[in-house]
Amino acid sequence: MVGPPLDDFGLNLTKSVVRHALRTRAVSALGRSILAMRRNAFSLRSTQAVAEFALEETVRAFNGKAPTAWTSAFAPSELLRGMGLTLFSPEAASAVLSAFGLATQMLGVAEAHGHSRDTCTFHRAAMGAHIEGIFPRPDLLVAASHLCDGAPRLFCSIREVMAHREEDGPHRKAGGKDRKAEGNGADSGSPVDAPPSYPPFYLLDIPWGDTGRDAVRYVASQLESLFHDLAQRFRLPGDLERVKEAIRLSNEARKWAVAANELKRLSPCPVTAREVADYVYVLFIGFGSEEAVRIYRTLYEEASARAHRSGGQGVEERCRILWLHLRPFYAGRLWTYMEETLGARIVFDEFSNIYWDELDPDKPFESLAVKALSHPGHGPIERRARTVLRLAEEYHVDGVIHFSHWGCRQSSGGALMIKDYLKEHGVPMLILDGDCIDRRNYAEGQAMTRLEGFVEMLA
Amino acid sequence: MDRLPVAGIDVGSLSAEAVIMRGDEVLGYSILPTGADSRGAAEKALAVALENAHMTAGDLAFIVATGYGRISVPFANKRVTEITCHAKGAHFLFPKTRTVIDIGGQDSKVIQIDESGRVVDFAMNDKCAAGTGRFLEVMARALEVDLEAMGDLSKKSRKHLVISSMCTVFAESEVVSLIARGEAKEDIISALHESVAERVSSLAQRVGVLHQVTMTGGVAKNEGVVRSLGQKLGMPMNIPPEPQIVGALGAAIISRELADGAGR
Repeated sequence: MVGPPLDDFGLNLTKSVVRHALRTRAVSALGRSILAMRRNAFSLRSTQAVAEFALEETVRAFNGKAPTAWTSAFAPSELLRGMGLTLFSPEAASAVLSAFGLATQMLGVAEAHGHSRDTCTFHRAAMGAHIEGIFPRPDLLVAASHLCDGAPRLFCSIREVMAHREEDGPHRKAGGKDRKAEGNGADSGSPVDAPPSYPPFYLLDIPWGDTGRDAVRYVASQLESLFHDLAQRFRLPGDLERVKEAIRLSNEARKWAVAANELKRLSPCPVTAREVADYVYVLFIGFGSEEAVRIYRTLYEEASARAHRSGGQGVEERCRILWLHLRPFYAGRLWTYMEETLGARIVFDEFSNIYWDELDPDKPFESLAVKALSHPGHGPIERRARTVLRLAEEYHVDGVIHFSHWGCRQSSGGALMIKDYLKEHGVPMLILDGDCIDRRNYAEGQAMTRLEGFVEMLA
Repeated sequence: MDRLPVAGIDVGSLSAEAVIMRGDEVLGYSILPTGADSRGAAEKALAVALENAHMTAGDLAFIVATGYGRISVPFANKRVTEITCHAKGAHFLFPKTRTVIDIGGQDSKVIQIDESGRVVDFAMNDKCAAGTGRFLEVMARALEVDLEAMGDLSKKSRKHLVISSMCTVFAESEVVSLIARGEAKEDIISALHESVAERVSSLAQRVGVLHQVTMTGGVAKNEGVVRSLGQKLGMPMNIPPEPQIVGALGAAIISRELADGAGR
């Protein structure tokens, strides 16, 4: 998606440059020139492919040939892709803004409009970018209620902002009017009261802590309603075969992702989280696409080739780390310092975990419901803690680091309980406070001391 | 084999310390303000410690630097975090230590160690200055008292006051308001000590407090904080004769281990 932060390359992107690029429909050219500049920054072809995929998908969102769905993390990308929608992840886009050095300005814009500094900066930066007209205009918003309560609230606020605008803004798509909401509804899996002038918001209600048959049926019925409602509202082909094909593609990508993960158990680890951190973009909105299959297959091939080379990458593996949550996306030396100076290699990260079983293309709604319900971060904290311990054992790590992202209640709230659980099982954990998006909430010097102290403890 | 002398240097945010050791014997030490020049402070601290030990830099077999300014000590053979160094130092002074509480200038940390002095777990304060020496320094200035006198003054407290704000800036405002209200400085200082102890004991609970507890860092010289913290933890604490040099002492011990390992 973004690779190493752009600040490292002396790129001076300002808000006005980005806005000019958007006004002149030069997003694609701007993105491609950035990628060309940064070609050598990618140590893996597959990681570069993630960046290219993100760029093309974003260009599609701006061009508006198909309706654009803004989706929250863990929304059912297979269903939406199978229906031919273009997906845009405002959370991933906030990470790009941070890497561009633009997040602080966007956070300021959101704060000036009354958004509290206590909220997640992924969502606050996205709100600022939306207010500034930097993001593509959504035709619909789809959020899932599990894991994160910030995204549904962001989407509600986005609709309010759009409602209060006298006109739609600079990125109104040709033909967009035809795709506007035609009716209202407030049930789960149906749009929450949407006046016709701005996009419908679909909230998938994923029951907390319940994974039984009733829960599966409940979520599956919402997905089925969503499918039919979108087909009618946006005049999309209500062809379930295309959804089934997206599910087959998701399974294919999953197969390669699992195979690549298997290789990460090796020592030295052939690819580390530093190289594959941006795959969170694919996790959020890529499954169900052909690109995701290509990306994960290439990743497997590259990891496999490295593993077969004697001595791996020849990098010292003083200790092996499992990383929980995400990392700072702005310029900084955190992971580089960890790996290159301290010899602590992040062999696995929580967002690389393929937590769901293979989906059944013949039961698309039920399969996607099971996938949503099987997320280890959803439900009682013991579920996530057990998963973390299993990952720590499977990837032979010496320690676990939880990056407590500012405002992320679902992740940081249970960090201490996970630490206690791991401690009982002899796995040390460090809780590192910081912010993935806003550099003002992060003191690198202090983080380094904690990291060094942790590595000294493990070594 | 005669052991050669080694040194440990701890460059903290407020003070720089150096310790010269040979074997288990501390030959000399120094405590100086860090000021704006970390490297200069490290050089000066080492020079004073060497002078006290009647030695020269050429006599030293190994130097370990620690503290936030450890990267500013180019003549050190190795840099180690203050977490590991305080654990080493506390274990050396009180071998039954299982919990180390270090309240320094800008950091407070709680370290759990095993019977060999190895770090098992630790937690540090977050970015703000609550529960650190800097917090007390700011309050001493607001109260127009010497930092070093706060411990003694707090013993004279007769009235229970509460400083509710953890934020140093807001707490300073509270202190100013209490002064304006005519409250006695002794009572305000006692409330400040309670505030620091509250913060640090919360941090300690995150790691788990195991007997024996050893307190290190400059704030361990403040009897008021020591008393409040001991009450909150429900156990007495070991206080080293010179708590401010424990980090540098730990660095010197690591120097000794590394020098021995290198066959010097």
